[in-house]
Formats: sequence, structure tokens, C-alpha cells
Amino acid sequence: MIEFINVNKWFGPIHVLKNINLHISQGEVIVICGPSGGGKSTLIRTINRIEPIQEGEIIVDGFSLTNPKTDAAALRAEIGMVFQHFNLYPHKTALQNIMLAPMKVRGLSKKQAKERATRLLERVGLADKCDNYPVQLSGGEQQRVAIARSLAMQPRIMLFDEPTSALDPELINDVLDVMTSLTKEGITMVIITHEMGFAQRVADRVVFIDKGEILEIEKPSDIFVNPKHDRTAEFMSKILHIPLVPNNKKERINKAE
Amino acid sequence: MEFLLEQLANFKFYLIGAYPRGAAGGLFLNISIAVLCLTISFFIGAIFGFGRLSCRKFVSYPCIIYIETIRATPALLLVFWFFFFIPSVLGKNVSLFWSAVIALSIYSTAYQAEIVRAGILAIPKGQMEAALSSGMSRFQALTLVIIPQAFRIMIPSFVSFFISLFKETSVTYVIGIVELLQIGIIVTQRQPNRMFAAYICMAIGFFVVCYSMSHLARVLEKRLGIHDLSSYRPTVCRADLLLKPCEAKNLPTQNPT
Ligand SMILES: Nc1ncnc2c1ncn2[C@@H]1O[C@H](COP(=O)(O)OP(=O)(O)OP(=O)(O)O)[C@@H](O)[C@H]1O
Ligand SMILES: [Mg+2]
Repeated sequence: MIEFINVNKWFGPIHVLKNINLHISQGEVIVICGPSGGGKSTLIRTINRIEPIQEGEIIVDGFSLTNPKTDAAALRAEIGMVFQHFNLYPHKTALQNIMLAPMKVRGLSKKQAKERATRLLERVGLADKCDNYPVQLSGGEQQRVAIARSLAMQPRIMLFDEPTSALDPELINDVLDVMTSLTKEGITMVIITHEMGFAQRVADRVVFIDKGEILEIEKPSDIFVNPKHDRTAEFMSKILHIPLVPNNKKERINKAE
Repeated sequence: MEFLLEQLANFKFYLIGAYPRGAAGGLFLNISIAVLCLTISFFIGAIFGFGRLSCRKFVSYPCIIYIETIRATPALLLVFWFFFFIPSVLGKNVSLFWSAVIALSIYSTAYQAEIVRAGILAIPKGQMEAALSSGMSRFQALTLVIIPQAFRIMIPSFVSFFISLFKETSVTYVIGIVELLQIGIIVTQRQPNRMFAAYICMAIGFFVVCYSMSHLARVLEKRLGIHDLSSYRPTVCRADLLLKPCEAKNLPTQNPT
């Protein structure tokens, strides 16, 4: 579904993505984690070509993103994206936020779009908030509207860039519940998150990125308990608040014994 | 004091000049020049404003040169210049009124362009990203998401620019347009002993219009506050996201996102 082949990206002199190779198959749920500034956001944003890459190739749904003939807008319509700061349109109500793209991009009639939007708002538990403007919604509600807005395009891929890190702790679960329900629908999902409990539950694989490199791609059960890399271990123990020893050191310790 | 009352009794002359026996003039002329210039320069200014945001140098540089040159030129100079320039280029005379309107339109275009540009740049870049990632084209994103928000931000600046443009129209007296200032001068020449009263009358004329405009600006600002544009998270805006991304211009920033 999504394939990175030797992808390199620079921001001016900074090398942000270093030789990324990653294959994500249809229906997979991938969680990306890693220290701040490691390039997680950049990586996820290259998938819908909001950030262009300088080297390598990305193939999404059979279309090469580096090919200038690929219609970026048509491809983006199939890829939903949810942002850390929600990015709802402040001049439109919750319902209008959701209706806009289906009407303008998919060509739905106003009635159809409204039907779909109402159904999605119900699904994220906000049926009563349809006429609120974004400023009249709490952070958690805004993020759920943002998820509904992406779903309204019936995407085959959903990208989440730290969807809960701007939220108060008690609001996080509402958003995570909506996301968990999505994982059961066979949508390919790429999620940046530091909610490790959530990752453990839903992820098929966890990708650890530091300084622009993919250091590990593992099943959640492995990466949390048995990280291979020193840096992964260090990061995980910070996040999970438990000391972890990387595999290679364990071996060394075992040998020494 | 009686002098002033006498002038006030004569206020029709200040308002519309010698009309209907002669040409219209006075305050009416100031207002019509200002309104015409504002309308003309709004559309041309928008083109220059967007042009300046373009990452194509052959588009942005001419716009920058135009805007900066005009902003460094006094309105008086432009009015004079066009008065002599148009007849010598076109080989025929243009009425004083139109010569003044063209000169002041060119003057205000530069300012309107900057207002438009500032308004567009005030929209967080996440808005553009959200619109694009939902599959909209750049044009749709601009017209459906960015411009409706930016326009609300621009309105107070438009009004305050209108006020200063309105005052600026008084410089057209130098080419012999019988607007409010010229009327006052005519009165003082005919009745030198009434000079003081005449000047007060002029001041009242300018004040009434300017004050009611700034009152209107406050009302508009309050009315438009419903959607409370300042409430979303301020993020650094990158001009290159607005029109075609320029990869070469991606400069390193201090704070990682
Ligand atoms: N628009 C940009 N221009 C220049 N440099 C950028 C830009 N965006 C990101 N960077 C740089 O790229 C690197 C990776 O940034 P990125 O946003 O991908 O990190 P991240 O892993 O998402 O971090 P965080 O967890 O803090 O969100 C950082 O060093 C950052 O400074
Ligand atoms: Mg990030």
C-alpha cells in the first residue's frame, strides 16, 4: 500500500530523512515513535506529498509520488490526515467542516454530504455539536471532528500526527477510542503517538525513528520489552518509566557471566 | 463665532461645490475619488499581493519592486506626475478627475497589496495543509479556506487605509480639482477675513467622514469577532506553502515541529 524506497530528504543543509526503507501493507496499523526532532512528522507528511522528497521513491497505492504525472490532489483525496493541532476551519461549523471536501472534491450534493457528515458526527459521539464552531468545542471534540472530516472522504489510508499530544489527559481516551474503532475497519493507518498502551493494543508494527533513521521495526510486544538498540531502549524506558536493557547488551552481560 | 455660523449656512458649497450650476466638488468629490480608488486598487492590489507571495522570482520580484517603489513615493508626487505624464504619453488630455483617480489608484494599489499579503500570511499554515490533504486543489484551498478567513482579518486594515486614502485625496487640489480643501482656499481668497472659519469648516468635513469610518471599523471588528480568528494556535507561516512549494527555499528553522 505504502512503500518507501531509499528515501532521503533535506531541509536546507539538515538531513532529516536518511535512507528510509519501509513497506506498509494494506490494512496494517503502524505506530511511529521516537524522540522529538527525529523526523516522524516529516516522514508521515511525505506520504501525501505535503513535504516533497529529494531522493528515492515513495509508492502509494501503486502511484509513485516522485512521478510528476501523479495527480497529487486525487491521491490525497484517498489519504486522510489528522493533525496535532486539529486544523479545523474556524470559519465553518463542525458540520460544514466535514461537508466541505466531499462536496468540492467528490462532487456530492449538499444533501448527501450533510447526511454523511451527520452520520460521522454521530459515530464520533458529537451529534449534538454539529452547529458549533471550532472555538466552541473542546480540544478533544475538535480532534474528533477532525477525524470525522478525514473519514468523510472515505480514505483508504489514514495518517495521524500526534493526534492526542495537544489534549488534556482526560480527553485523550475519547479520541483514542475513535481511533481504535477505526483499526477494525481495514483502513491502513500510520500513527505517530507516544501513547504506548494504545500502541501496544492496536499496532501491527512499531517503527522507531531517531535522527532521521529508522532504527527498528518490530511487533509491539517485542519493541517494548526487548528493544534491540541502545537508543530505543533509552527512549522506551523514559516513556514507559521502566528500566530497559537492549538485547545486545543483555548478550554481553550473559557472556560476561 | 458668527463667522463660523455664516460658513455653516454655506455648508452646501463645502459639500458639493458649485453643483448644480457648476461641476460637482467639495466633500462629495473627496469621497467619490476615495471610493473609486479603493475599489480599483482592491482588485489590482490583490493581484500584486498574491504575486508577491509567489515563489517564482519572475512573478514576485516585479511585484516587490512595484510595491516598494510606490510606497516610497508621496501621493502628491504621483498626482503631479500623472497630470503631466498622461497627456504626453497618450497625446490627449484626460480630465483632471480621472488623472487624479488613476494616480491615487496606483498609489493605493501598493498599500492594498500589502494588506492582502499580510492577511493571507496571518492564516496558520495548517489550514492550507488540512485543505490540501483533503484532496482540494491549491485554488480550491485558497478560495474556500484561506481567503474567506484572510478577508475577515483584512477588513479593519481596509477601513483604516480608506481613512488615510480619504485624507490623501486632498492633495489633488494641486492639479486644480475643486475638492474640500480647494473649496476652503477659494472661500479664503474671496473673503480673507473669514479664513479661520473656513479652515474650521474643512476640518469638520474631514473629521465627520473619518470618524464615522473608524466607528464602522470598530463595529465590523466586533461583529466579525464571532468566529474569533485569534483563538487558533499561532504557527509560523511559510509563504512557500501558499503557492507551489519551493523545495530550494526550505531554510532550517530553530524549533522542531
Ligand atoms: N519546515 C521546516 N524547515 C526546516 N526544518 C524543518 C522543517 N520542519 C522540520 N524541520 C526539521 O526537521 C527535523 C525533523 O522534524 P520533525 O518535525 O519531522 O520531527 P518530529 O520527529 O516530528 O518531532 P516532534 O516529536 O517534536 O514532533 C527537525 O530537526 C526540524 O528542525
Ligand atoms: Mg512532529
